[in-house]
Amino acid sequence: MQFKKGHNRQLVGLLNQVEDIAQKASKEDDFKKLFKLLKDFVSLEGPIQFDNSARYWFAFWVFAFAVFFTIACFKIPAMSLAWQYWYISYGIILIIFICPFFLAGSDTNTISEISHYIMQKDIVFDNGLSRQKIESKTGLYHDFHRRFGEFRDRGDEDRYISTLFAGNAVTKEFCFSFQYYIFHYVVVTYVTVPVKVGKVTTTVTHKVKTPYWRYGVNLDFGFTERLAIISSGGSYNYAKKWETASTDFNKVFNVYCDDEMTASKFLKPAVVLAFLDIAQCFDELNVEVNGGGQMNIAFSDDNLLESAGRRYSIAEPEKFENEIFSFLAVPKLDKLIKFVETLKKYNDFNF
Amino acid sequence: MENLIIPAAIIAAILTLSGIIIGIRNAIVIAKNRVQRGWADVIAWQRKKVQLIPVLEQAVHQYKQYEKMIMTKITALRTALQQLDQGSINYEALREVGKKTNAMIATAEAYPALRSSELYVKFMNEVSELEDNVASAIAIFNRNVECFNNSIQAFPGNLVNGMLNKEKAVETFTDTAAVAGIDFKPKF
Repeated sequence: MQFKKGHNRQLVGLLNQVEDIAQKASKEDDFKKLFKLLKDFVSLEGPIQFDNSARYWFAFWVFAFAVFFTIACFKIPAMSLAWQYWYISYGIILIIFICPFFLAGSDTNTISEISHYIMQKDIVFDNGLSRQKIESKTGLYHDFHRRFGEFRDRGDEDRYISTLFAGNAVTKEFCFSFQYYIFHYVVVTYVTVPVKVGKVTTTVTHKVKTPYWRYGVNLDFGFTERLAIISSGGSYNYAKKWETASTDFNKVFNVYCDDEMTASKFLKPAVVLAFLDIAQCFDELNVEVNGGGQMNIAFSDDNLLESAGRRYSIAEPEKFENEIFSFLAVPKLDKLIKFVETLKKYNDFNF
Repeated sequence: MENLIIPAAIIAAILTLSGIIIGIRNAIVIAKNRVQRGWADVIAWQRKKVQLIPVLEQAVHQYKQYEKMIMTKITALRTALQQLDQGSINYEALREVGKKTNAMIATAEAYPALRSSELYVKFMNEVSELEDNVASAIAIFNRNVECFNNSIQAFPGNLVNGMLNKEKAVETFTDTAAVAGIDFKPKF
């Protein structure tokens, strides 16, 4: 494939512009300008891919040098010293040989990352979500900590709500608004490692910080209160533990409540089966309804807002544009909303 | 000291084996109790229909020309519900309640004037959710039966059951009316 002179430099400029437009986009129509830029580039400058021919030629000559170097080490006596340290020589040659491929991969990755970012943003637009500005991430965490057991006894430091979306769900029987949050925390552990200093072995303690993320949805649920159905983590201040009649449910979840009748009324057989069904799709699922009738559904899956899979990228502007301007469903979010609808359906009162 | 090692090992082995046998025995008891509780839940959900019948009676009362026919079906359903016993598993009685429920609803559905009644619509929504819960309770019950049967039939539970519990396998509930409508019948 033939590229124009300065193609890579033009392409970098284009990608910077595209990224800037994508970051500033507040609605789907804002992407039209972005796709116009991409299509104009393709018609004027060439394909949206980096010209790696110079890098590949460089790698070829490095390889040729390696072959020449090997022959020289055996044929030229003065080179025998270099052969004694062959592992250093070939290590350096290998690093130099890999560099062009690494750079080529990195550039291709940039195109993929920008495409992924655009798609993620469009998913938010298509599903009626809006990113909320968080004035104090730690402050919001403290507010959630006060309201829900999910946020208690999790992590040792760096606890905050990093991202917050607001959304509205419209189902066959109910309409409700919800918030989708991403919760970050760090678990600190101390690891003792033996260290030999001369002939003496001492132990040194290292502080190891491991970051974790939990994801979840908050909404109003006025049909019950003071009840938690937990599969993993958090700290819940309820008087009693209750078991359902389902062996499978009891293996996955623990139920905490102040009043067993509340738990029994909420966990109807259809609701128990709904929990078992949703537990197949979400890891470490916890559901709590606090004293104010607010429900928190938390899990470890980080792909709630992912669609079926991106098929195209900005390298194919027309196909990618069709993909972006079609409706991008998010199966996991839809599943969660259906689950909430089931909980509401079997807990409301028809008369 | 060395003379004590073998007797200590034998005692430890016996204690471990006893612990395992006790654990398996208790697991069979727990599984059986869960089957019974599952059945009790099915009956409890079926019996909730008794609370809904007055709502249908109230809706029907306005339509004198249909009242007699539907009241006959309601009486038959009440009688069938009374045959249900939370303490003993009786699939025939459960199937009878299902038949009588369907007969009552089919009779009510045959009258358009009744169908348009707001009270009747709410009644049907409630019955629909109730039926969903009954079906779910039956699914949970069947799964508990499967777990119980596995615990007494699979090794080593079958040995412990043969020696201690002496429980028999429980049959799962099947809706014979639904099965009759399917041509394919697997051979077990």
